[in-house]
Amino acid sequence: MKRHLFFGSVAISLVAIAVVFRGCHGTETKDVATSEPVSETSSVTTAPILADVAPSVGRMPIVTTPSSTVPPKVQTPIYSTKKPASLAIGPGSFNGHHEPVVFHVAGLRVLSISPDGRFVVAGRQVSRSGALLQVWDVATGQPTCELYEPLGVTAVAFDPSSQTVAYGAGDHSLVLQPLPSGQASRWNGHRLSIGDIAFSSDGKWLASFSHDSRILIWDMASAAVIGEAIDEGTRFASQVRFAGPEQLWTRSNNNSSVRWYDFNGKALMFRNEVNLPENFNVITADNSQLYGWQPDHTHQIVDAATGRVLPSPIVERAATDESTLRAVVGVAASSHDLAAHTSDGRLTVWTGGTFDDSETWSLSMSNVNAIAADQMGRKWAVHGADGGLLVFDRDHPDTPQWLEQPTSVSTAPLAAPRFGPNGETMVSMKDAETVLISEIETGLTRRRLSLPRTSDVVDETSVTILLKGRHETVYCGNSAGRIEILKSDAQTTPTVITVGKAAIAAMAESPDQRYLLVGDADGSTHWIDLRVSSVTKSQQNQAGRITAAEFSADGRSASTASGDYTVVLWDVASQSPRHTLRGHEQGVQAISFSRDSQQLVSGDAKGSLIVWNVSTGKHVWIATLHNYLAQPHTSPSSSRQELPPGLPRESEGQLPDDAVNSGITSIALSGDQRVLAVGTATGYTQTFDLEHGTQLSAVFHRLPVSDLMFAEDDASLLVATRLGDVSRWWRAPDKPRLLSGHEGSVRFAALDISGNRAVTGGTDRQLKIWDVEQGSLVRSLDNAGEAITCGTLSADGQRAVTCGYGSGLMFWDLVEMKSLGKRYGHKQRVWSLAFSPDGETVASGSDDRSVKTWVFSTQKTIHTIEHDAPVHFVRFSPDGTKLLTSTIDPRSWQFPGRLQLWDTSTGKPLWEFKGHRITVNSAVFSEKGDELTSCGADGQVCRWNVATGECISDTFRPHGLSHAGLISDGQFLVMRRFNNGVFIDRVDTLARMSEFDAPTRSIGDLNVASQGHRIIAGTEEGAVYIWSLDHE
Amino acid sequence: MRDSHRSELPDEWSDLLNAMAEETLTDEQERRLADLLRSDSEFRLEYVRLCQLQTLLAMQSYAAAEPSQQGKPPPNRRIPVITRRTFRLTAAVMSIVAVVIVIGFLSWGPGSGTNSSLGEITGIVGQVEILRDDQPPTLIRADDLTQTPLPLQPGDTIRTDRKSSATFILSDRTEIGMHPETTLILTVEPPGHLTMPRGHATARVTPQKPGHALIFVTPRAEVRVLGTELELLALADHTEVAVKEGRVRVTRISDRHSVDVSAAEFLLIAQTGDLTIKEWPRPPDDWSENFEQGLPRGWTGRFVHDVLPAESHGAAQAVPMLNPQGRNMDVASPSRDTGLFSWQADSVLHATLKVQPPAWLHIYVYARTYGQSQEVMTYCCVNPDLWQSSRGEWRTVHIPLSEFQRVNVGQVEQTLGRIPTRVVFSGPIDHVGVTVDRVWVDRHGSPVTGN
Repeated sequence: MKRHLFFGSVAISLVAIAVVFRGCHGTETKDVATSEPVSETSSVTTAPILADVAPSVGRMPIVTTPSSTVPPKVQTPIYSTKKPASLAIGPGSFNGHHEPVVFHVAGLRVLSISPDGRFVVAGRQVSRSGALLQVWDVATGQPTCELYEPLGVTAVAFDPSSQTVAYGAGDHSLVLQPLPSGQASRWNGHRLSIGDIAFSSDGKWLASFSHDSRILIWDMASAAVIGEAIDEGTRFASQVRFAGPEQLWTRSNNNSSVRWYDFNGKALMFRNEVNLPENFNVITADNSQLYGWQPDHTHQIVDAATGRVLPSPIVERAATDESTLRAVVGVAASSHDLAAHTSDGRLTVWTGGTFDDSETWSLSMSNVNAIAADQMGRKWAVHGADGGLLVFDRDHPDTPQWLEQPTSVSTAPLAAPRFGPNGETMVSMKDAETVLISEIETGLTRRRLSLPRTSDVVDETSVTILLKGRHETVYCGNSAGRIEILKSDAQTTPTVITVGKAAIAAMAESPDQRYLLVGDADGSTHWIDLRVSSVTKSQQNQAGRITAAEFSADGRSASTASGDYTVVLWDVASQSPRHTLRGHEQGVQAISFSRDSQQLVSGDAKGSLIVWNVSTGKHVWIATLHNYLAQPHTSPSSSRQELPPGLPRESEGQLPDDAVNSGITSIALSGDQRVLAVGTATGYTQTFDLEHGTQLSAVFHRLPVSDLMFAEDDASLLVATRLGDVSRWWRAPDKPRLLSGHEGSVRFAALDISGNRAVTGGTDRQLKIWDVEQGSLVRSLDNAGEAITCGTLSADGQRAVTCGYGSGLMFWDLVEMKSLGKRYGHKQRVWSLAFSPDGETVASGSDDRSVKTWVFSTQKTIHTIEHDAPVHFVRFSPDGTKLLTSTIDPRSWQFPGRLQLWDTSTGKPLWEFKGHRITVNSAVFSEKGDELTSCGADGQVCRWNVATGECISDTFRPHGLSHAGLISDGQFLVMRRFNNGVFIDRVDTLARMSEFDAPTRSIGDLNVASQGHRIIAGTEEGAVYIWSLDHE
Repeated sequence: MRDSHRSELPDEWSDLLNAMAEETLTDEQERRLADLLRSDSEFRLEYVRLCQLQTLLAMQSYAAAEPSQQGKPPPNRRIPVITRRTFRLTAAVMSIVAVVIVIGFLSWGPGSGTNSSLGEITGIVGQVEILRDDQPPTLIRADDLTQTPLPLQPGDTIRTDRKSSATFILSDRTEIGMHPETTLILTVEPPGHLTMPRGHATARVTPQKPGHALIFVTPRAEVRVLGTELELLALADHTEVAVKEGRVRVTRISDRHSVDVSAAEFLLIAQTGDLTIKEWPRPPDDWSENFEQGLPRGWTGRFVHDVLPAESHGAAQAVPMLNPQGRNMDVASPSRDTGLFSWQADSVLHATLKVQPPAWLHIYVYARTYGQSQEVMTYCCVNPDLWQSSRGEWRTVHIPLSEFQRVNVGQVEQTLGRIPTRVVFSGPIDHVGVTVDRVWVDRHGSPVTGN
């Protein structure tokens, strides 16, 4: 019975439970069925495709092993002030873009030897973009002329008579320099840099082939262009050669052929095209042949006239399984003698034609980067990666002539390079006997001073410390306790002051140039009166080696740092100690006064920093660098391992034994005293925000840092390394915040006027709306299955218009979060969109050579403005009454388009802005609309008067520019730099305030919040970055 | 309903139920019985019927016996004797049945009480749309599954959108995973058919009885499965089938041409053309490189052998590389079209690396598909944590491959397969870039003795 009851009760229970829950369920189902679509607010994470397949993992964040980072001890900030009236570029993270400004070893750009073998010309990069072109007289071994090109040198050639050398300059001009010297002439005709130049065999004509796709034939007598042709499809010009009196050929780097032209003295006519072998990599060429290699390392010679492959005598051999000793090849133009240098140091020269005969020599260069020959192949110029340049004469093979000695271990500098007091120069030692004063701006050597080799100088004596004084004076302290004072006038006999017997370890010149404060290795401090060149006072207040000396800017105080952990503050007037500052736990190695002379910063070997009040002698702030930044490793120093090839290594002993190898080596304070920068012996710089007492940025420099200096009104930080390289690090905004969620390249990224809302779109066919403050996704809207390639956002962020690869425009209502539909009107692809300031009108520029204006509310066109070329850029003036358009030449971006201003209400033209050499990618109106700043694909930036159409000023940047915008209430001009960088300039002067690289392989779009302080970039990787110029 | 089409019970079911009634269940049969009760709604129905019959017979027996308790039972009736063991078993089974019934009533809408469940949705990411009969579409989210799975009925249509995915288990324990933008219809007639008008699905099909194959129907093909693991892509113009385990028979609908596709094989079925089977590689789940013996053949980078983590003897430092967008500093594995490792849902990439500030770092995984040997898909991990906190220290990062986002969506036509062929660590030019001491991939993020 119980059993029956059990089953019965189970059944009843089931029914009852089912009925009860059934009723409940009905309600719930209804709720689910009628619920609104789920908002994706804050769902910025990537969900696994099938959650159930990997329940054990789900969404795992990136996890790192616990870091051993110890935050610096940060105490009360020492600097506090009201926010400046105008925004700065972030708090002072000097980790933006960096550019070399002084090269320790100049990189070769061009090398040639005159047909008669008398002259060698070498163009070498001495700074980021500047090049020094030196012409050497082979007979004397001395330069006959030096030419500096701030934007570099791109090509070089001698005329057949060896009386002129021609080169292409970075400013796109053609420069002709008479030999051995004389006034150079500069010919302008190209819009982009010249890729190659060649003289006709009689020297009457000169052909220049430019990246602007044009071949120009110049008459040498009249300097006039007498022939011109367009090499269709050229991206970058590689070679041009006269093959005969009236025929020449060209090769560009993006095609596998040579193109032949006929020139009859009046017209340059395309004749035919000759295909080169597949995968043929050209190394060099003479007038009739090209020399190169195949991917399998097989060398080939190709007849330029027929494309026929000829056998090459060069056989490369594999050095290891993975690398081959790549040969550097040179050829003599007339004899066709061929030379190849392999990294085993052998130079082999084959006699042209059959290559049956060859000669091989061993050179003392293992790493050659260029070879050039005279007409007949008798003299060969060889340039090494270590900076060495020699001429090798086949008739005298045992006595190669060095024109420039290589930088080697034996000539490595012993004294650390230091910046001069005015920030314009740096002093360094080229070798044991030569002091160089280099210009920071150009990288050029301004002075080359030789140390006196007097009889009383002991051979073992070496310069231990350098100091660049005012008025071109250089103080050299040496290991014998003497100071040699060199004047810029090489004729003046150096003054020698004997201070003592201990090595000179620190020097400082007073601002009034009256005193030289000297510290030695024994801990003694010496005051030298420079007016009489004698020591006026010596005393030993510190027990350890004096490692640094410094005067305050007001000249009232001085300071010496010592290895005994102390810093002494001196009263300059009495030359007596005012305070002995104690607090460091290791030897103090660097000191620096603030610009107002009220504070002193000291850094020690441990990596500790102390900021002292000069008046009271009390410390006001202490911080310690992370061990990794300040201390060498137990294994060989990272800086040794990561030296660039060709540079000497510290471990090889060229640096002095007593060189600082740990801790802080240099200190600099920004002009506004908000940022403190320190350099370390381990190759780092670290900056601190003194206003907030926080770390800012750390940068690794490969080599020990020897000196630091703020420049460009604190927009950049100059860093000198132990071996004499100087790089400039631009100020950068704080690290960007990341908006993650796109699954494809982001091609549209925009902010509303305040910068609080971001709208992005890309190849994943999604339009995403973001809350920037929260860093969260508000909504993702489908773009009807089409990729978004460009777009525009209204100032209030409530409307957007986008386009894809086609001609249709998609209108979006971002209040209702919906698409208003797609509208067609253009016949071809739309490239650019812009909202009017009031958000009511949209302009679209298309490949169909028209611009249309649309009423957003009706999505209908008002005007169609016809152009004579495809329109790739449109923008409204701030009052909406004018529309700016930029067209692209149908042939290529390398030709100039038209930058025009139109009346919005009538669609009639107002102005055309003429002055850009090639396509204008972007432009922006000033806030009042009275000025316009435009930027070109060639890096040209122009400011225009909108009322008159006149160019107010222009400047050049080494890279192409696009995506211009004004930020921070119109104070700053933001531009995208090709190669994924961002420029921020002062809009009134175009002075660079900041340059930084976006963390991406490719920026898809860049925009700003015009009245905010944010910059947005969409990237190829699907990431959206937002930088803020305010310290958020 | 399926019952209406079944002429007789499967032999196994009859054997089990009879054995239960006769109390002759072996341990193996007992386990199987429990399994079936959990997984097969039809079996549960049969079981309830038997229980009801048993109850009825027992009650009849009890009632008949009462008047003559002292007498013998009727000799010609075999009355099941409910022993304690049977009682316990039956009670347990009934409890399961009760739960199932309650859940069934709890979980689904009108009329469901009259339909038997074909399976149940067990996992949802995002929100999934379900169409049933003439009811309006219902949106189901993961939260709706937190307490109970969602039973499915014949005729249900399940749709995932661009951001959602779903997993369901059929009554025979076949697992179906629906990727985004997929539609699946649990076809009523004929039974055993799953119609997939569009989308991408993975299936781990429980071995089917001969003659009762599970059949996927796409616009271009029928895929008959007797028990295997496969992946399906249904597009408007073609269907793709990739088999991971076992074998399937694919029939092109347009001409009824059939081919068998076996494990590690791939087939594209278009309207016309040859049905050409391609093999695809199956690399191991794990992959590792520690640079202890130098830079291995095919790697891009510069071998460094000092300033290393403890007990390490070598690392690869980035070198300048030219890519379509420009130059970067890269450490890159060789490109291997046979695959470096298998991309599983729980795969994790680990790396011990150093980034010298201020460089950034992206990690790319390039992948090929089943049908194409060249790498066509690019995945990238963009995470500032990879580089922004670094001060040059060696650190080990552990990144689930699910964190890697596809960066060339829309540029490559949708196709099946994701076999990693190359891993690249990429940073900006003109910086020291990244140095990689070790990189490895495994599943579940299992701990590895690292540096």
